[in-house]
Amino acid sequence: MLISELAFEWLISLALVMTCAAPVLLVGLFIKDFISKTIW
Amino acid sequence: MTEFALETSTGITIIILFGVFWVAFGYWLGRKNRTHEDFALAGRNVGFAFAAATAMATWVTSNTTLVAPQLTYQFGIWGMIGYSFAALGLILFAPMAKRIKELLPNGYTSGDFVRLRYGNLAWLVFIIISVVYAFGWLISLGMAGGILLESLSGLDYHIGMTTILVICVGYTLFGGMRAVIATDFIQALIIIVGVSFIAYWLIDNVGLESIHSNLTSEHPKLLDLLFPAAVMFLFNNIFFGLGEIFHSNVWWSRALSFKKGVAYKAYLTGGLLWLPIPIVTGFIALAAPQLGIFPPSPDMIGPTVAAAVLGKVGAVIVFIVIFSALASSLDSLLAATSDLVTQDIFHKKLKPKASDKTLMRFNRSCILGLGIMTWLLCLPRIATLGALLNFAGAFVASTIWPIVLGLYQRRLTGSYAACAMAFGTLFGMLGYFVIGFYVAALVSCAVSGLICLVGIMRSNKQFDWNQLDEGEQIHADK
Repeated sequence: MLISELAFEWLISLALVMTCAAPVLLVGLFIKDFISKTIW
Repeated sequence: MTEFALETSTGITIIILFGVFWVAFGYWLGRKNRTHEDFALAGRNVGFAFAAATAMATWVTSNTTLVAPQLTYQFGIWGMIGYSFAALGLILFAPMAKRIKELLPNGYTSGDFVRLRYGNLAWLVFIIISVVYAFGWLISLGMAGGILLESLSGLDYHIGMTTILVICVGYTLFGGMRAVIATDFIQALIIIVGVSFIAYWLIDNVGLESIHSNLTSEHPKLLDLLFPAAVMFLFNNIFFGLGEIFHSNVWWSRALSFKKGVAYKAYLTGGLLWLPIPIVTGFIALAAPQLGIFPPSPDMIGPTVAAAVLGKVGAVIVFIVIFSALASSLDSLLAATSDLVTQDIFHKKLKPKASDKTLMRFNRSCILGLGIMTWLLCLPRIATLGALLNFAGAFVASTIWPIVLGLYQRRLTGSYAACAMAFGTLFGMLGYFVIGFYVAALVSCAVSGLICLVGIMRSNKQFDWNQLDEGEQIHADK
């Protein structure tokens, strides 16, 4: 049973969107920690 | 024109620039280390942003960037999905990290826990497993460094491998855990941005539809959802990932170095951030057949495809991404393994009254020693990365049940825990050689679980959790 083209496209696109969101989240968390002086 | 994507001189320039930066950054961060606790656990005060980034970045190893494409190339769609399921290890470790922080407020290592919870026999088996795994991982990382430089720039394998080891040992030696975690944050950003860029470029230029139709007609097995060996690999990889994270001091020392209340959410966030990365890196390999790329060694598939599609820019990005992935794991492993040797063997067994200064000096010597031993073991290129990695699965999966039950169940005793780890490993290795690498972790975990179950049913002892807190271990400098 082969994966359908639609499922394949969704799988790769969703993974890419999630990966792209990660640096935004990490930088946001860093700024928050930096402002509240809780980095270390 | 050179046959490699990068000029050798460009590769050397990148590695020197990054190397100088990481070592200088490590030195700068290391200035704040006053005690051994500062050096080994960053003062137990790491905030959420760095904690989440280090959990994610450490789990993005050379294996995620080199082996995930390799497995996708061999097992197709299940190769990358199976690899991404290793995120379960980080996600399930989140509640355990919280529990570890509560039960061992002054603990240093995973070995500390096994010794206090199960006694010396189980501790010995655990240390052997930990050391075998740590060296397996260290060697696979060192080898990946050499392979990367050689495949992309033509630089001799031995010179590339040596350079990467020297850089990572350098900044870990100067900065300790603080340097490891801070560099992980920057390396995490580099890895994610680089990987996303390559995948986006590939989709934009080759197209998802085109890749799918080419695979359907030429290599349908790679899109097969019922590929038996691949389905087996999926489950094997879940247990392998759980074993790696649950037992390794890399993850325990992080849990212990995070601020109170941070460990649970940091591991959960790190796991969710990591989940899509093997799919993105694995996808790159699926474009290989269409591009007419058939590399001599399957672990070079990812870099080769990226370089072929993006040219020199792609080669530079892949180079930097894999170098960051290597460094983020290599530094963590060097720091965590040297902590394990310093705390569990030197401090607890050989010199219980060692001063803080002595412990710090010994820890640094350990980092250097581990670096040299890894270098020696990497000199012969002994196996493909995937094979080396999966061999370790037989070892680590045997620790899953003893660790989980040790944290939450009072009845499992040390002798059963030791047997579970020893026989789990033996049967896992048997599975590896008799059936294949894709069952090693499964067999190991099943045998170990069975022995633990018998142990719980037969035991009438109740472990006292208070025995896990040894109190603060401060020895005045002499």
